[in-house]
Amino acid sequence: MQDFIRYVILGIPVGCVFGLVAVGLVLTFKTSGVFNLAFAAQAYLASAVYYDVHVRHEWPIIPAFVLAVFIVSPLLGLILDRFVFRWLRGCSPIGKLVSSLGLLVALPEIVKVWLGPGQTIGITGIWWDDNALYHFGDYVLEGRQMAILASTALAVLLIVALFRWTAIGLQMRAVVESPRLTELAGVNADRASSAAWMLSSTMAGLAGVLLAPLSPPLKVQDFTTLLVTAIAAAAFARLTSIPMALLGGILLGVASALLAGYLPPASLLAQGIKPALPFAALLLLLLFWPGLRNRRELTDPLSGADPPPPSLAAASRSPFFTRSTHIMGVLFVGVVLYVALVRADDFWLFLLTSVLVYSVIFLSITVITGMAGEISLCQATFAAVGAVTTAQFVSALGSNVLLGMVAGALVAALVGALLAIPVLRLAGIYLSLATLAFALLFDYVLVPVGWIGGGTTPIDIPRPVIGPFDLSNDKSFFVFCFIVLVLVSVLVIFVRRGTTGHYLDALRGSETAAQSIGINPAKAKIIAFALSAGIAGLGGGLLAMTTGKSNPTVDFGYFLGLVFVVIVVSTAARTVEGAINAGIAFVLLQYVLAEWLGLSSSWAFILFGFGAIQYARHPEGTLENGKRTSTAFFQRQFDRISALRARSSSSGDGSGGGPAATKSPVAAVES
Amino acid sequence: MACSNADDKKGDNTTTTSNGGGGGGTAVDQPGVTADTIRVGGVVSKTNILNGPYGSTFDGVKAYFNMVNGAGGIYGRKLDLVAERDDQMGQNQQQVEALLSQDNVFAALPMATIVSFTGAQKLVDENVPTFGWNINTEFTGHPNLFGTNYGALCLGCVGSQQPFVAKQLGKKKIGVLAYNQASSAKCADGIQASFEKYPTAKVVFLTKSITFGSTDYSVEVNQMKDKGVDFVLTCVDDSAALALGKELRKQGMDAIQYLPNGYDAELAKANGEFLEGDIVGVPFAPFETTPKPPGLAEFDKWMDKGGYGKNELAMAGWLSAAMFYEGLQGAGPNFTRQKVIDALNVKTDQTLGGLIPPRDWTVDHNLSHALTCTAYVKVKSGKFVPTFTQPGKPFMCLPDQPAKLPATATFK
Repeated sequence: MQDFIRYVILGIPVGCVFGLVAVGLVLTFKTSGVFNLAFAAQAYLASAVYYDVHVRHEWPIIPAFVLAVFIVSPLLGLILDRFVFRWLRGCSPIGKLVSSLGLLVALPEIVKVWLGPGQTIGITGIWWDDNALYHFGDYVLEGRQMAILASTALAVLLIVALFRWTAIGLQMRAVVESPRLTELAGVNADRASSAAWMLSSTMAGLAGVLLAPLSPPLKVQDFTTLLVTAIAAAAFARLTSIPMALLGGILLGVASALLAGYLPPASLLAQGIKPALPFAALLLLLLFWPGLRNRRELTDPLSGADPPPPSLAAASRSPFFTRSTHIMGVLFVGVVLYVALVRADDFWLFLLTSVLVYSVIFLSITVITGMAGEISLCQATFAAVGAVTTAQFVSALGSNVLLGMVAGALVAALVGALLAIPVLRLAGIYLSLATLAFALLFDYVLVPVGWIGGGTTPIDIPRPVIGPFDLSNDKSFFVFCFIVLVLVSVLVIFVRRGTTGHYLDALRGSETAAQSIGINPAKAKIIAFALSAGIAGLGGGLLAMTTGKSNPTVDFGYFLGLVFVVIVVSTAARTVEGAINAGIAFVLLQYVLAEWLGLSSSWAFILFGFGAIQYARHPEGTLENGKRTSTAFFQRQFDRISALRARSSSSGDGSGGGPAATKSPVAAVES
Repeated sequence: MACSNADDKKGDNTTTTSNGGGGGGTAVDQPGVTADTIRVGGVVSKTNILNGPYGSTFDGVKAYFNMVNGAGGIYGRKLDLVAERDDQMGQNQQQVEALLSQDNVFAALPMATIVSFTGAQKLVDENVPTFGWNINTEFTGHPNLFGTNYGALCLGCVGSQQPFVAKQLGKKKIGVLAYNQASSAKCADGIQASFEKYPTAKVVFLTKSITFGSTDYSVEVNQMKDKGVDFVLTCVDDSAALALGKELRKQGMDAIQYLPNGYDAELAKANGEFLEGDIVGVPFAPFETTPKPPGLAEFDKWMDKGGYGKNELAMAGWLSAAMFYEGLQGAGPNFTRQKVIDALNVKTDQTLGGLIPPRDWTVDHNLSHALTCTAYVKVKSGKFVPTFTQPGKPFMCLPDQPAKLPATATFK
């Protein structure tokens, strides 16, 4: 019993750290309706400001703290509200989640560009004696821990009081529920929204400055790790209760301490279970915690039903324009093939091959996000499953690598289907968070297992020989990847145009209405998940063949999975071209920025991030949106030219022209 | 791998130069070699999204090249660092491809990549002399990949150094902490096996369940305290070691750490209180060595001249450049990639002017060879002080896996 009490007490300080971040997450969700994954990035930015002025410019602690937490952080919140989230108020929570994902990717890279290279160490905390030790019986706390405990307690009290006893607290919550209804009651929704974002950003800033001294140097990954750990505590609070978020954090800290204390430290059990705790807890909470299962998402009752997704730009073109586009597309592919097979050197051939491979992986996002309308944050993990299975087939079973790749796709599809069965009971962001939990479990628990992650040295994957074609030749391998991409693209197009695609379209519009006409939502979505995971798995095997190694840590880490989603939704999540554009952007943009413009490759991630921020406004993707705009422009030009021709021909022969000769492309579509 | 094989593949990029070309160099038909320059380039994690601010590795190379070029270069040619590539997440191999195809380099240096050096195989296939900070296992076992840290990275090897240090410090109870990641866990296994073979102290606590990025070690330290641990060996990064140091101090444990990755003067200065008394293993002659070996004096001189900061990574760059230069010298005026590699691989006592412990490249590429020589510093009042050393001989050496631990070490 004595040990139990000891571990419980030892777990409380770290639990407060989790609690602080969880409180920030809940606060943001409560006041803005956004599950703000960018909280970690905001915290990192505030800590970087604090570091810059306190360490590099030698400001005293108090002014540095005030600047970072009470000036820069609220200002950042205001900017995010005015330029990003205010425009998303009526959007679905998942649209907001993707925008915050974009910020999570972009903001830290901006900070990196600003801070420049070099170590960021020497940060001290805000307590008057950061390193002082405070004894409470047998237990000791450091100054920096006292600062966290005191600040967390104070912040929770103030926030609870704000919501319970002030008008602005009520207004902030009301604006999330329904901005229009709130405005009808005479409340300035914009002002309340700005106040909410400034408050939550201040909370992020406070967390950043308090947590930065815990493990210098300053690294955004530390904040991201803390964030993903704290999500379980936020889920425990059902994303609504501030005190419960704090309690959830403390419970997580205590549970972690108890596991560390009671599991034999050198055992495999400890090696697997302890790191898995926060992510397993998140998954279990999402699946079984009352109030989270099938929880109604916050939507404005006055906003009406979500309109169906806009039709694809390609669907609104005239046959003539479509034919022209197809011809140009074929020409483009021909040029690419010519360049790759005739002109390109080894480097460009490698780049172009990588474009094809990543395009295959990104097509999995086209299926799950573009068609099924779900945001899965574990697509990179499915790709990892494919790569790992391929590696095991080759190294452990001595199988043919092609067979291994197919097996990888099948195993990934099976894993996707199995994951979908429990996860599909959730909706919107909860489903996304469950996929994130799965990705984290895979990364933290399964990848370290030798036979899965490959141990200390990634497993070699040879390239196959198919008849007379030895794919160890880079050009042959390029052609092979091209064929795989074509086949997968055709498969995706067939599925989109087929029954499953139509079912998924119907489900996106209204699940209830779809069910009323006999569509089984679970079946359709499980198929989508399995297909998407299978495609990702196939891409994973292909990438492993490209690099010659199965390297899940480097090629398919959970954060890379978030980047994948950000890139695809910022281009076009619903089309095959979108996935290929995303592949081109992911592989080539960093190179172009670095080599041709002399910019840091951070700028590529900044661009991707800002592209994703547009998701809620343009769920079809910024490129697809641009395509629609340009299609409409060119269509107008075609119509004008056709009309002019018709007029001149009718004035020339006096016959008025035959209907076939004068029919504009638009008319052709309409007819 | 035959030299001609590699050269054939790169035929388009090959430049034939001769004395008549205006540069004064002997005719050399090699990629990246012109009449007056030898082109090299490196891939370093500068802005990797997974961290790894290793950019100063390039500074060391530049300083070394300034020194060589200031003295007229080699074989009538200047050494030219033409590419400073940034290893971004998942794009290491792509950057290596670019080094060879776009930058047309003769040799790859410096390489310093976080997590994984996925482009290594390409450099092996192309037989490119490659030099870098070998914190990745991909460096191991290839005759053309030359690591600056002890040669091969042998995570699970049994070694005599740590048991010997424990004995010298009078430590009896060992605690070992590692991440639940394959390489870190294997490192912990190696430590345990070393103390089993050389039982100068007993491993009484071992955990391989630390989560990467964790800042809380309260329970682990509490358990180590209960078990009377007096010497803590870790397979974690310096952030984690620092967090552990804070917890050791907080719980009043009378123990010190052995830090494999802690040779960072800024880190020690900012956190001396938590690292006081800790022992840091250094793979080269520490900057604090007195008297300075000639290589270190040159390093100081040329780094200062170039206005570069002196740290472990800059030294890795300098060592990479120095190894390459020695390879060129050994290869002779008609040098080729293969000749450079061969010239280095026959060296059995390479010290680069006393900067590194004697390197035997006939065996040091391979895993079976355990660490035999290393330098040590101790953290004292936020500074590093050389320890287990003799004047002018910074490296403490032990026989390679002796049956029994010797009573004394030799110093080189």
